[in-house]
Formats: sequence, structure tokens, C-alpha cells
Amino acid sequence: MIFVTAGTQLPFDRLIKTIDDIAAEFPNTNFVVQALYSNYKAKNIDVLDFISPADFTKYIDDCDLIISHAGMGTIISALVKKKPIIVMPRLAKYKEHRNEHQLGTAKQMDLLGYVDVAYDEYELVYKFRQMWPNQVVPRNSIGYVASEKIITSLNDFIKY
Amino acid sequence: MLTTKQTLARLVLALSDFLLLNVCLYASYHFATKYGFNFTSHSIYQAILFTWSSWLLSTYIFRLYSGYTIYKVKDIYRATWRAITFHLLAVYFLIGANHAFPANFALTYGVVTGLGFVLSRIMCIAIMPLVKFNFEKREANIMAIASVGGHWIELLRIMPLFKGKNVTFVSNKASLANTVSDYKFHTVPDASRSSVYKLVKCIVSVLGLILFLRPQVIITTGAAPGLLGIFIGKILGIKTIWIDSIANVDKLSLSGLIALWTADKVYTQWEHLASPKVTYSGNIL
Repeated sequence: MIFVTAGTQLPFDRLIKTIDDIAAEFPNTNFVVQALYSNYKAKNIDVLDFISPADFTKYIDDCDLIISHAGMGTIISALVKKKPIIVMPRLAKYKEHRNEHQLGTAKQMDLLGYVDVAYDEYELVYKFRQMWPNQVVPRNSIGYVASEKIITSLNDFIKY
Repeated sequence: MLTTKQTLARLVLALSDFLLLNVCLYASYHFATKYGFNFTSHSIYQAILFTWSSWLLSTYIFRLYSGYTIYKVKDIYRATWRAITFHLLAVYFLIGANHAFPANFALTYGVVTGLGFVLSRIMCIAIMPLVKFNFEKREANIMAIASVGGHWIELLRIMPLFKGKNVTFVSNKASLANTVSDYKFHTVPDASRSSVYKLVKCIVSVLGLILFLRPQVIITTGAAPGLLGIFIGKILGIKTIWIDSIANVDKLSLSGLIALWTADKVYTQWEHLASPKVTYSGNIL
């Protein structure tokens, strides 16, 4: 199963349209897609408006691959659960977000080797064809909690 | 748990302040009668009632004698000047607007009390270094605020910080309570830059929560309710911490920049964004 999530703040039609096309190309693959409703009506997939935190965790646990916007919530969840993830940053120039921070996040996460990044629709299709279904491996993983360094610093600031 | 030393320090501070308050009240009463004003016994009782009750209220709001505050002169200071300002304003409005009292009585009381407290806090600076507290035992009542989504997930990454502490989590989605089931949880309405009505609703509920829970530390990973928590916390003299999201790689977020001149400590999660005012100490990955 492939879990696609675009967050709950704004629609992300570019991603959903690309997934719709990919789903047409891979009819035997199961897609669970979460994105805010918008003008684009997908033909080959069902799009869920909102999923509960419990369901979100369940889909992350059960899926074989995550495709998402470059939101840190999803990226962290994927890294903790050691799930392969491809992110496509929302771009402010298409009014997909208020500013260009997702591009920065994606570039940095790509550079540090945490996630696979598709910078546009074509790259997403290309990466998906390359990976699915036999080359799906997580690029990296992290522990359940933050590193000691930030927690010690916070604790010291609270105490002293 | 409070140690004996803490309890003693709180008691000494509270009693000496109360004594000082009454000395100031008597002094201003003395000045007023000396210059020919007559008090009825009723108005004297009224003055005592007003000053005591408003002092009680202001020390309660600003947690002047809490087990956390008494550790540091700096923290005692910032609780004191807020408590005194609030107290004098309350007294000014209660007594100043009341015809039973001579004109300028509230003003005299304000000046005398203000001077009295400045002197008492100078003494505090001299005495405090003699009291050696064990800061490892300093326990704070913490409020942790984050909006649903990435902000919340980033907050949950620093859970080891909250272990065994008195923490209340605050977010804008009720279903998140399950993710922090061992702790207290409250929801507030979300705010956005576009709607003034929503903003006011959010401010009111965040303020209400802070006054109700009276945290000594507010820590947030972001978005609007967290930023409002930082603002309100700062006004009330609460220690405030802003952790800018790891998603902000190229520059601090707009909220982070606003928090920069409000919060007591601002963290970035990227070393290249660190500056004298912005702390970097690892990230939540």
C-alpha cells in the first residue's frame, strides 16, 4: 500500500494529479490518499479530506512507501518508522504555501540523506517508476526522541 | 516536592513583604493625618481590606512566592515589579476613586510602597547569595504549546524533557490528547493572520488557561497559539522558550522573528542560523 499525504492546511493539486496519473499506470497498487479537497477531481484514486491522528499512525505503520509534501511532521513520522518516503515540496510560486520554506526543508533533508526528494511532477513519476515495487528502501531512520543535546540545553535553561 | 529550605525562604519573603506593606500603609496614613485629613474608622478598614486583597491577588497572579521563583534574585525581581505595579494600580483605582479617602492618599501610598519595595529588594540582593539552593531540585510547572501537525510532532520529540515534570500540553485539536495521555491536555481555538475575531478568541482562551494553570515556564514549537502564549507569558513574567521548527532551514520563521524580541530564549535547529540571540543546541531529529 502507498500512503500519500499532503497535510491539512492547504490543497496540493500538483501532487494529487501526479498520483492520479501514477495510479492509472499501476492499477494493481493500492493508494491511500489524504489531501484537502480542491478543484481537481481525481479519477483513479479516492482522496480523504482529513484522517485522525490514530489513522495517520496506522497508515504510516502499514504502508510500503510514503509520498508526501515536504512537511516535517510526515518526514519525522516516516523516519521514526523506518519507512521509505518521497517528498515533493510545495512551492509558493504556485500558491501552494505562504513561503518557500518547504523547498529549503526538502533540499536540506535531501543533502543530509534523510529522504528522497522529487522537486517536480516529472521527477516524482521518474523516481516512482524507478523504485516501485522492487527498489523501495528507506534512505535513513531516526530514534523515537530528540538527541540528548537539545533536551539538556532546554532542561538547563528551565532549571538555572 | 518542596524542601524545608525552600518553604522557609518563601515564608520569610512573604512575611517580610506583608510586614513592609503594612508599614507603608501606616506611613501613608500617618502623613495624611499629619497634613490635616480625617479618616473614619470605616475608611481605615476599607484601606486595609483593599491593600491586603489586591496584594494577595497580585502575588498569586505573578507567583511571587512560588517554589520556583525564590531560587533566583532575578526571578524574584521580575515577579516583584510586576506584582507591585499591578497592586498599586489596583489600589489607585480602588482608593483613588473613593471619596472616603483624602485626595492623593493613593498617590502617597504608591510612592511610599514603591520606595519600600526597592529598598527591600536591594536587601534581597545582599541576602540571597547566602542561601545556597540546589538548582537540581528546582521544579517548574510547565506549559507546552504546539499546533496540530509538524509543530506537534516536533514537540513530542522532546518528551524526555517533560518526564516526571508537571506539564500541561496545549494544542488546537482535541484528538491529540491521546498522544500525551500521561499529562494534562487542553485545547484552544486556532488563530490566523486573516481573522481578527479568531485571534481575539485565541488570545482570550490562551490568557484564561495561563491564569488558570499559572505555569512558570512556557515552551512552544510554534504557530499562532504558541506565539500568543509567549506574548502573554512575557507580560506575566513567565520564562518563555520558542523552538523554531526544523522546517525553517534558510531563515527563522516570521513567528520566530517576532518571538526573538519577546521570548526569553529562542532556539533554531540549524547551526548556520545561530547568532548571539538565537541558540543552536542540536535538533529534534
